[in-house]
Amino acid sequence: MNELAIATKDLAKAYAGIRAVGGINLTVPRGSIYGFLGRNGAGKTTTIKMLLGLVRPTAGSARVLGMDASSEHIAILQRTAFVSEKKTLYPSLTPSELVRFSRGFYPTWSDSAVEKYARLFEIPMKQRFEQLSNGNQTKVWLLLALCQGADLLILDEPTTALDPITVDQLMRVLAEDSPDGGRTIFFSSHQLDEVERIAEYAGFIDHGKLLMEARLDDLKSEFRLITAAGNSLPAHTSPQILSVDVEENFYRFVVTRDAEGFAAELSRNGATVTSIATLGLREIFLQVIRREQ
Amino acid sequence: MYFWKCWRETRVSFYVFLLIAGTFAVLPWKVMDYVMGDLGARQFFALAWTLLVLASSALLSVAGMSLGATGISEEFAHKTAGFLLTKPRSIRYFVWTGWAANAVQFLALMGTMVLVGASILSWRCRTPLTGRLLLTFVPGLIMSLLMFGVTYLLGVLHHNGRNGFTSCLGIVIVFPIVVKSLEYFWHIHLPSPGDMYPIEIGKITQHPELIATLPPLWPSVGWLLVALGCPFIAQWVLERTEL
Repeated sequence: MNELAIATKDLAKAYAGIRAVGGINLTVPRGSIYGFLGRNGAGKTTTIKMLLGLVRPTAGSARVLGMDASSEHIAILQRTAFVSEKKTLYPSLTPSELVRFSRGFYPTWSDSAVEKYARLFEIPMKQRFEQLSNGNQTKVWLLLALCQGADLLILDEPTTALDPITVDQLMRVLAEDSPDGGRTIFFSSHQLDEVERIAEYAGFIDHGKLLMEARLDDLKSEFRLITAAGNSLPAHTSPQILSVDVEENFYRFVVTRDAEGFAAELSRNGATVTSIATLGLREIFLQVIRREQ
Repeated sequence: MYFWKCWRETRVSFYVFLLIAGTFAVLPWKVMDYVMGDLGARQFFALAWTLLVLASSALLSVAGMSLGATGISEEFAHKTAGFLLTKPRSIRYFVWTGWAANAVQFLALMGTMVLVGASILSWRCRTPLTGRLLLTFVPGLIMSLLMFGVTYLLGVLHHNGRNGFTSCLGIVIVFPIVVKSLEYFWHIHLPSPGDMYPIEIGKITQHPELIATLPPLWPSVGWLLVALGCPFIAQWVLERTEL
């Protein structure tokens, strides 16, 4: 059995010669929670659409749950739940009617899950979709996705318009309510705190290029901010030094690995290392994106 | 599922059309009774029957255009296609389920007009309904499927059902003018859906037996194929559409 829920090989998409996604290689292990991060227009949604067979790649290939995304997309959709970036649904239908509409498409649909999540998210099930608040509209999308009994959840900006309490509930649900632990969650978000809270893996995409993909724990354990004072210290980036900020004689280095070794080398060169600090996902993301800019 | 959704989306307009169909079914007889009550029974029946057939064609054509403007093209216009097309079904399923949901409605409208209108006329004029007479309604049904198919296809091409409706309306207005102009100025006969209607209404009173004239086979088959071809082309286009 293929151990990857999503695997892409040089997956690329261009619109009228303009690159939207430029040959990315994603590897999302089964059963994992993967945060797909990038700025607006970075290529996240286009990538997701290619995974779901809604957009044809210009080059490369994608396998989802071991199946080819181009030729087997209906079989993929049978086992995949999707929450779109645009949270529009049929305006005249109520959430109950949307449940009725969606139920028949999925043999693994769970009515008990409908009851559970409708109660948890406090969704007014008898109100027309167009009359719901933006937050409640997002909740309906999430409800429909969570009740499918899918092996893979692909969520494009799932927390749009949600209040902090609901975001918290959703994060709990995503992190804890995985049937037999085999459900994979692949979600894109601008909310780095949420990703950091639940994701095991993170991928950074910018201008259609996958800049980095790693286990979140590995990222956090390797990336360090080193503050040092001294003269003539290295002020250029390298594979190890992600960024350097210099203010008079004070240097702030962001290093991607072996922070202790780098600090020791700075000391040998006469610098005074004042601190070695860990970085959160937000800082790592910003540093990686800034370097690409 | 999708059939239910299509029905739910169109049921209000269907009820309106059903009401109009009921009215149209009674109207030819009432109008004829009022205007030409002194006509002989055979002439009366023939003229009223022809009016009924034409009224059903007109109503079903409008219903076809109206229903053709719904469906998958509106999913694009309302930005719900991302929801629908991530359901585990093929484009073919969505196109033909929508088609079937509407075809059932056309049949219901047609059935209402035939049952109510034809029965009243038959009873009023003491003329038995024959299968041959009932076949005169077939062009109307083909017209409705044609209008539905063309509107549906244009809606898919525009990614907007209303624009599809407007374009189809343009064709309905312009096409007969083109056909008539070609015929008048250059004596070129361009096939048109009007070819399915073989009788001129003016001849009916002199020759009431003409009402049982069967619709010509090849124009009927040809336009039926065009009507069925439109959803196939729409399916082909949709299968190549990216969201």
